[in-house]
Amino acid sequence: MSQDIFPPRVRRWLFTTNHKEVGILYLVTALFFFVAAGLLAVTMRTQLSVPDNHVLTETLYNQFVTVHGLLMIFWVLSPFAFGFANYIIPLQIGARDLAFPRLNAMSYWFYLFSGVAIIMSFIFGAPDLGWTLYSPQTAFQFAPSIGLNVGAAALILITVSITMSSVNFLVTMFKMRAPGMKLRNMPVFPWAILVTIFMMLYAFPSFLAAVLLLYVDRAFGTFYFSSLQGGALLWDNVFWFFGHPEVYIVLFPAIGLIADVIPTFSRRPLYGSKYVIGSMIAAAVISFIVWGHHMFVTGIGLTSTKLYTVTTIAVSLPFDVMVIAMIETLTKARVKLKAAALFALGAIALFVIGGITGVYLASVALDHALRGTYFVVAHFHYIMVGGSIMGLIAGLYYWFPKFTGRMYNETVAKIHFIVSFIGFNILYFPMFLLLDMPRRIQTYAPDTGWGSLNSLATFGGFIFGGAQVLLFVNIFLSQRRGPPSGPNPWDGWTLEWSLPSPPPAHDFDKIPSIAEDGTYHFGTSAGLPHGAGYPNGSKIGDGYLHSHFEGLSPWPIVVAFAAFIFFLGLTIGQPSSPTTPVTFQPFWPLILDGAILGVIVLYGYSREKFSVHEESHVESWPFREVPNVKLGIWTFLGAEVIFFGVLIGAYFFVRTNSPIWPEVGSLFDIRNGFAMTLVLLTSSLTAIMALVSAKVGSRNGLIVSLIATFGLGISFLYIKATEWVYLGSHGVFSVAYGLPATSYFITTGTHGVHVFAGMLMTLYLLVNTLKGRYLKGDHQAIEHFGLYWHFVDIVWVFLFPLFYLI
Amino acid sequence: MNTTYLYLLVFAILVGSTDIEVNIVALYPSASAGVAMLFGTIALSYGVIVSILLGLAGMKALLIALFYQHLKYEPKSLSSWVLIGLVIASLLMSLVFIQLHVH
Repeated sequence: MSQDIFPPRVRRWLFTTNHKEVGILYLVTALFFFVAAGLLAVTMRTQLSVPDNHVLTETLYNQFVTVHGLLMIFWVLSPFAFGFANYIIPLQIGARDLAFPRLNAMSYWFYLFSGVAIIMSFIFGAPDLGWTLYSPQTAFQFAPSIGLNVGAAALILITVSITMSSVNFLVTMFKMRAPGMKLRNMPVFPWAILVTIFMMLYAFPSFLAAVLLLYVDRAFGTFYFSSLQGGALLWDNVFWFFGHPEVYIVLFPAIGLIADVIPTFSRRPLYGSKYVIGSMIAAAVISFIVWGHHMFVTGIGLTSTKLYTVTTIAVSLPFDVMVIAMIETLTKARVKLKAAALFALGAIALFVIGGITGVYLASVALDHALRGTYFVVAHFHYIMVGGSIMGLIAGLYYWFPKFTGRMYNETVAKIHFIVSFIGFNILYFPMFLLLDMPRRIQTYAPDTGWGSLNSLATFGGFIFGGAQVLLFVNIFLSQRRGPPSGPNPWDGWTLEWSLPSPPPAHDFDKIPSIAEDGTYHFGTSAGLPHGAGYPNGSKIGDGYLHSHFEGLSPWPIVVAFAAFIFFLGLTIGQPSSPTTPVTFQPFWPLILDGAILGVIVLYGYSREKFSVHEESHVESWPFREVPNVKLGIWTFLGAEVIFFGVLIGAYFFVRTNSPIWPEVGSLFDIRNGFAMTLVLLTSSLTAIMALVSAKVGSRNGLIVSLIATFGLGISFLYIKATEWVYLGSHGVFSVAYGLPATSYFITTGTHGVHVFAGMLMTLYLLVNTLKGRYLKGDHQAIEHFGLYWHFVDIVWVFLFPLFYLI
Repeated sequence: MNTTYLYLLVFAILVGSTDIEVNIVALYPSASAGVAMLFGTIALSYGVIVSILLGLAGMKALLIALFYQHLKYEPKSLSSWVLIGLVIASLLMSLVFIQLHVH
């Protein structure tokens, strides 16, 4: 694809794969969505400022509430943090880029287009159910607008983006650390990101599965969430299994960032940094077993309630360690109260308030009283905005000189902090007192007594929102006219400060070496607590990027665009009848355009000569002997385990809840299942024989094995399609077959899509084999394909007995 | 053992187990029929049959992962990494099961 049709500056930003530029793109886009979500919030606060107000209609208010929540959680908080992570993590661990630069760019473009989709949903009637999208409100009869379908597409796209990023960061941080940068020596911010992406990797697949089920229920009239056996409880489980870790997913980057900022400005190393890291890991692990506290009022049973009460109180303890460590670091320190430090201190204070009020909600009795009130709204905004956004703004000021090479206006930044802090508390503290006011109501009567506190909160909202104008003006003007910052204006101790500001495209002239005890020093950092050798850099490898115009790739943006229009095509068709429970009216031009474009660009993507230089002699424990791509594939498969685990879990859920289920063999023919199992098992054998052939250099063996694998894949899909057609012609798609058909079609259909994707890979490998590749020791692609294909086989090994035999 | 033979042996076990799965079900005419008799003497309840089938599926999955995906020959760190996903998925299912059935 010719890249020269764009002016150089545009080309650079559209096609960049450099981690620093992708980081800037993330930051700018996240700030844009921050403004959009903020405008929605200010309008909502205006609506609530006085009783019986009608600035917004009920529907519009509900849409604003929902999209505000979705935007902040998915399109602002995490991407804001990922902007920093993209820019800073490679610098802090001594790498020249992320492990998979093109994948990184693609993650960004998926993020951007998913955000466009969620904004576009307003055109079609945006989701209006709250960000939790509780079932059965999402059922077609309660939410007939197709805006919810578009919103689901946006959520699927952002989840794809996040999964790609998670894989990329995990491989980078495990496999590309500078010599001497042991895991135990990594600064707290990379550790926070590592823990965050670990949670993302295993929480988001659950959400993806949940949204997929939601979408299919709405689009095709299946019954997971509109049935009594599935319904609200099923959604609550799969959603909150993701939703509670998500709270820490958006919080940990800010905590890690604060843990970098506070030591720098207090001139003391972080007190008990290893305990802080250990606490993060503990909180991350526990976060996967606390989701039930969001379900105390659903009647989940006393045993479960007790269990989740204990785990919820337990998850608060690691945060105590983190806060105490930061307070101890500050004790008796002469803190330089720069804007970054102020925002970090403010974030800690607000987070403590949000955290303590959260512990109240672990009590079942209090949860029954406070759930669904403005007390909860205040609590989570003290965490999400007070802790997270304030912390991230601290990061923006902290690293602004590194990003731009210029200083911001400190006075304006301090005023920004003071006005934000005051405005924030005027906005949210009154909500703690509104503990009898239900959340998500559009207006209220004058005799409720809520008017004055709401007016105060709205006043605070305008102050807080207005304060952010100072931030934007400051960074906009300073990046053009601010005084030069030099490489290390804060005397920071982490590796990014050893580089010029902004750093060169290739980051390090020499990959730095870290001393055995994890220390390094550089530049003007006299008086550091440790002093050890940075200059012993390892030899520079060939192939790193010297300028921002090397390593451009047009494919990431086009792949993301193809996915965007494909999903739009799936979701924007208007239902033919407003009463039909099926909203799937495909808009074929877009679907076909997206599919064709997708195939073309994936081919171009795979053909592009884009080499990623892998440094030798880097720290890569505990995966020293595992190549980057293989680790990436296994990590991706780990996420797939959760995805299919949730689909199978949903099946178990509805099945064990259903008083009757069709007898074995009465609905799904065992012979079909048996045949498909044999076919897939045989295809696994041919896939492994392809690898054997490639390793011994047998071209014919490789070709035959790949053709056989492809043919067996076709056979599997053919039997599956025949079965579907047969079942369809016998009315199994109808309501009468309810959940057995729902679970069968969704689970086996999703598996079938995986088989189809595997066949496309086989075809690609076959074409390359015919051109003579994979036979001279470069058989890794065959091996990696096999990992995926065998995984698909493993999934079927479970689906066969579940649907055909029991 | 020659790797090709090893792969063929694994394949034979996979196919054989699938055959056993289908034949176990053939013993059991319906879920409501009570128990099935194995070899005319051993009574198997529906729950036991489900456990056997899922156990066989687990064994097949393990064989594929160990030998076809080569986890047996990979560093232990990678095997442990793969296990994390399974552990988390199992946690989800176990806790949901407790919610549904333990009051």
